[in-house]
Amino acid sequence: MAPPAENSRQHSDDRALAEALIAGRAEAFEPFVERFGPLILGFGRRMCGHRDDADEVLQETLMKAYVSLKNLRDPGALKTWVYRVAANACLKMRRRGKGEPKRDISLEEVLPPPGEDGSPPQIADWSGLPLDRLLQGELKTKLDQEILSLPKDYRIVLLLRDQESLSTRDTAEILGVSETLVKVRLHRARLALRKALDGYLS
Amino acid sequence: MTHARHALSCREMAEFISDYIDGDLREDLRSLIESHRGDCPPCEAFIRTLARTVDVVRAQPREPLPPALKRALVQSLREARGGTGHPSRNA
Repeated sequence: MAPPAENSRQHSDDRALAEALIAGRAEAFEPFVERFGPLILGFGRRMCGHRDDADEVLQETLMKAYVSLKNLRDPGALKTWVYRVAANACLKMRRRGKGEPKRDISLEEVLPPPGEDGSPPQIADWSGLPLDRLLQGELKTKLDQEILSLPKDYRIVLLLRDQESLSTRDTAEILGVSETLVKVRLHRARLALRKALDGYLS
Repeated sequence: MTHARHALSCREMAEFISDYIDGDLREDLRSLIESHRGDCPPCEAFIRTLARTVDVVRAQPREPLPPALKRALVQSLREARGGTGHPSRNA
């Protein structure tokens, strides 16, 4: 999560960018694409799983976010605005959505089962492994697959909160759901990923 | 996670770990978790590995925008500005 001073500076930069776009200043297009292009491309890639779909989501997002900017009441909220458009674009993406029924993750399926006599489970502690080891090779592929195999309502919350560093409140607003539901889905998505990593590392 | 030799059982605690990691938990619950994890090695390992999982998702590298795609996006926005897509013209 970015520190508060950085968030405040970014908020202020976003406000200036949104105001320039609304004023029709063509020189604002490049900074707009540079600011949100890599973010939405990464988000779309992990959300959709296909490079072509992610490119399509990016193009649709920047265009729709731009032409509908007149409806943005607080120009400082440009980031939330763009992610709302991107989330809608991802959720309606046909190719990935097909054959992906809605599914809930229960706590029981993602928590370690107790020992046979009801004793505490044995849990390996792999938290000391360096991040660069966890982010390369086969393990990286495994992580990508696990994120993509989460139900999409959970996957989108995990990505908005943990990958894109949006707050619980902004995530709830983007998805049109309660903050409580965001927290429940985030927790279960994290637990599902932990379980997958644990199965690989233990 | 079922043993319950603490004020908060392992199973009960499991519900709150994300809020705990995010620093988004009431003080009384946070204290209960702090005291529980100090006494319960499985929960200590569970909390640490869940926090590491979050670190991994947050640390995933971001791909740069391919230059051709960037040029195409800027061009599309210019064309939208020239047509009816200008946000202030629709206001």
